[in-house]
Amino acid sequence: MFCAGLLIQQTVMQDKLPIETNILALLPKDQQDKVAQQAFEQIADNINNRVVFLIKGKDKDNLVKAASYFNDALTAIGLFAHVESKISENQQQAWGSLYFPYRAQLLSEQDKSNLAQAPDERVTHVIEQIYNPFSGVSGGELKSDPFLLFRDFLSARNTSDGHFSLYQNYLLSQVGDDLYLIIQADLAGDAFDSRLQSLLPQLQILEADVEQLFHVKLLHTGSLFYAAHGAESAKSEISTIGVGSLIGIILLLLFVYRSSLPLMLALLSIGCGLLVAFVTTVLVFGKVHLFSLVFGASLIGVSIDYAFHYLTERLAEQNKWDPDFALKQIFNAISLGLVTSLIGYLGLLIAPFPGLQQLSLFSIVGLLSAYLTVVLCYPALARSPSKTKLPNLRLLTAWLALWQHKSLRVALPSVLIIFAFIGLTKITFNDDIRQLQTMPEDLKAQEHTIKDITGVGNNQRLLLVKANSEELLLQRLEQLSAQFNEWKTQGFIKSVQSVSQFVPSLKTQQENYQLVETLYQQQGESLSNKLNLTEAIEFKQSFKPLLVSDYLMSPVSEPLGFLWLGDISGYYASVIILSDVTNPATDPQLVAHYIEQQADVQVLDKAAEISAIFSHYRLFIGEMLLAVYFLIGLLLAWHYGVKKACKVMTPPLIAGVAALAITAVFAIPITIFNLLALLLVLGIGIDYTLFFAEQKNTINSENTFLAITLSAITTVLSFGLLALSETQAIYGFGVTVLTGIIIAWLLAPLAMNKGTKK
Amino acid sequence: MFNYRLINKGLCCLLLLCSFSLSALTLEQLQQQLTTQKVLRGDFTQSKSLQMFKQPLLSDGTFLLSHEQGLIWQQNNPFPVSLVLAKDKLRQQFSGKEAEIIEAKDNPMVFYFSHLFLSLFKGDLSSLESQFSMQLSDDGKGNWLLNLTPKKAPLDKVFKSIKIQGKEQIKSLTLTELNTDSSLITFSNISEQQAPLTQQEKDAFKF
Repeated sequence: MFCAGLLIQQTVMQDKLPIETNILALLPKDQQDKVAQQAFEQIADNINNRVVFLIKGKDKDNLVKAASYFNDALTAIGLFAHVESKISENQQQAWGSLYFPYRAQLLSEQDKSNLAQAPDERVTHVIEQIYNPFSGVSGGELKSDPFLLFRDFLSARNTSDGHFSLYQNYLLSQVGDDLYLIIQADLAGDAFDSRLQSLLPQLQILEADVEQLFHVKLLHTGSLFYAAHGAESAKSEISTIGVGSLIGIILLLLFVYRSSLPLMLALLSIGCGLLVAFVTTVLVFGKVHLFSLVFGASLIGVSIDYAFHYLTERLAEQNKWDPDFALKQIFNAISLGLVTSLIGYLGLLIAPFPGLQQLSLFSIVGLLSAYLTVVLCYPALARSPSKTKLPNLRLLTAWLALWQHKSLRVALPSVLIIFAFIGLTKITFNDDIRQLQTMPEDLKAQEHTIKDITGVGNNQRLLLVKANSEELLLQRLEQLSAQFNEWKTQGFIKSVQSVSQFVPSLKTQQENYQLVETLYQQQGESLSNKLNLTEAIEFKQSFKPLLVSDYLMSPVSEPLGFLWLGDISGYYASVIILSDVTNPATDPQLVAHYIEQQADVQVLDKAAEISAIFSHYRLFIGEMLLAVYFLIGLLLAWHYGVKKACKVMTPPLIAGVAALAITAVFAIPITIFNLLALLLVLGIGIDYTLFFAEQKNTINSENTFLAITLSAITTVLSFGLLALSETQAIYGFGVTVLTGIIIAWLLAPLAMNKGTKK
Repeated sequence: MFNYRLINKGLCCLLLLCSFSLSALTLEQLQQQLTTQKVLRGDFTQSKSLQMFKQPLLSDGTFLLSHEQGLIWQQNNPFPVSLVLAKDKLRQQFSGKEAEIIEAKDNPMVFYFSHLFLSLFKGDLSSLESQFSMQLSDDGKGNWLLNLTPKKAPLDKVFKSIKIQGKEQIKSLTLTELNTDSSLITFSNISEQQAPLTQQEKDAFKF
């Protein structure tokens, strides 16, 4: 007891409950290779930790005031490690200071091809630029770069798809009559960190303040908001389901047993089950995932079965009550019930899928504790006989009596089977991970607006490129970007982002250097004559390589430097981002096919990858279901003989298939979670039939049916509440369990030993 | 009953105020003066004097400034070229060549300077204010000189000062770099009457 107390204190009573909310933590880690995994984590951290705000208004100066106020207050909240609203002079000049010393090696793509084809045209171009008053060519610039190549290179680096311009060092964009000011911030930790999420209300207050004070509108987007919403809704769902089913059970117990002892005993076994399950899961996994808790909370309805059977026995026996004998009476049934449930969950424990392992460990430990509570504690605690009588069971008795008719025994299952097969034709599968995430419309709309205004595509594709050295990697990035940029010009891709745009490979730098040197040698005199210069143009610069490290050290790399992953497990790796790939109508797979053909390029599509994992495990669980069913069948055939085993197995089988069919009829796509639900239906359904099979006579069957009915009501209560979930996957899970349990309950009397009168 | 003496005093004060404002032109007045004429047509000559050059580079042509649409800059000598600057687009056309259009989003740096130039030309003092400290002087005969000193990067790394001179309208623009290199643009034959844009001129601003 003392040890248990200590454990509870360590796990449950911590300031921060060890609850994990990041969906990715549910998934197997070893599904993909190390480079891709590490690449994704680095990129995801960078993207997930960024929050973008837009302040929308009509007046520039008012926006600047609002931004300045918001910036200061934002820093004070402690949510962000870094808030960036103003572009400092240092940052504005960073481009020039980084690249200027290397200018003879840097050419814009356009200039490079022009110089290779028609170097003489450059002279004309320079003269035109000098006369042009809008071009702003200064004497200083002409002196350091007489062919005006550097400005072209810099301009090509600075193109943006958003129309932001600097106003008082703030970035402003105008769309119609509205002005938008952008502020970016990096979180002081992880987007899934509950401590950071707990600071969100302060941010909300601040945003409302700014909106009111300056009459502006604030928009925000970032993983933080989605993560917080997900955690919030899951937490409220757990408490709704938990509290809802608990209240239901208490009312039910009071109604049926009309006494406090059964209530206390029932709560004891539920409490033991949940607590031990939670503590064990935390000890094994370090953290309990929210999804395990959501499913775990519904375990209440299952773990109470054992208690119901014992307590119903007590209610029926009245003064003949012998607590130890009663346990013997039901021991076989509840033990078999436990074993069949455990077989199902043990199957999940083998799966190399942390989410499923947690779920099954949680359930196994929970069920086992609830079972042990009944077996070990109940006879000692429930010594006195029940003072209240069995409630009127007319309805239940009538339903049981109906089962004595052969017509019903054949008709009801047949009808359900026919219906199930029709329903099964409507089945669709969907393994999309996004079903697990709740995406509130308001956040999605804000994200959409922000992406439109900042020119970031709504749909980004991350491509991981690997090579054996920095130089080879840069060359590959250049080759790939060249192809993507061509498609960009043709309108099939909105934007292409790659480190090679900021650091050309040494090969390219050398080619550029050659071109520039030749240009000076061949055209220097011509330019000098045409401009009537005092001194001849000479090429004086020596070659010094510009390296990725130079770029990464410059503030210029702040927005996109994270694309360079450097040395990962013996490879050099970097990521290219493609935004809004549309493909030409004639070849809708153009870009995808090209990427597939590149052996060293890998698409980092977490959503697709996770969906593939889900699909894989959906099949795995499907196969496992069949295996579990077969195994339980074997066990029962050995125990009861084939004929009786069939009677026990048929109702849960029909219930499972029909539940799947009903879920399909509701147009809910079938996922891994619906199959998990079937596992539950199977486990609970067999419990129901087992109890009937274990009873020798009709009176006992009536008591059993009462216990089963109570159990079904509690299960339906808890899972019915799951069907209220706003997360599609949980909702679907709820519907399948709900319908499966109701059908299993309806058909359970099929396993009754017919004709045996008292 | 009117108190004539009081009214007289008031009139005197008003006159005094008026004469003050006549002798010292304020930035607000200048701004107003420069923006009264919505369309401006005239000739220009540009002279670029750089240390690198043996003699200044000269060019001339005609221009049209529309406060709403932008600027048409038609250079005739030493070679013909037509430049049209609108809000976020710039078109450049050399005789015999295809027009080249640059968009602000593709080349924000070019537009940074183009917009500055347009603000200088239009006398859009409020937008110049954030980047320059301004000194206005006048000779009392209607000739004024606005001296702009850049106060922050990147302009302060390039220009020592920019001077705008004028009477009713802008007369010249001098950009002096830190190393004394300079460009002088003078405007002449500015049309007195306000003719609205012709269809051809309107078309030029269409991209």
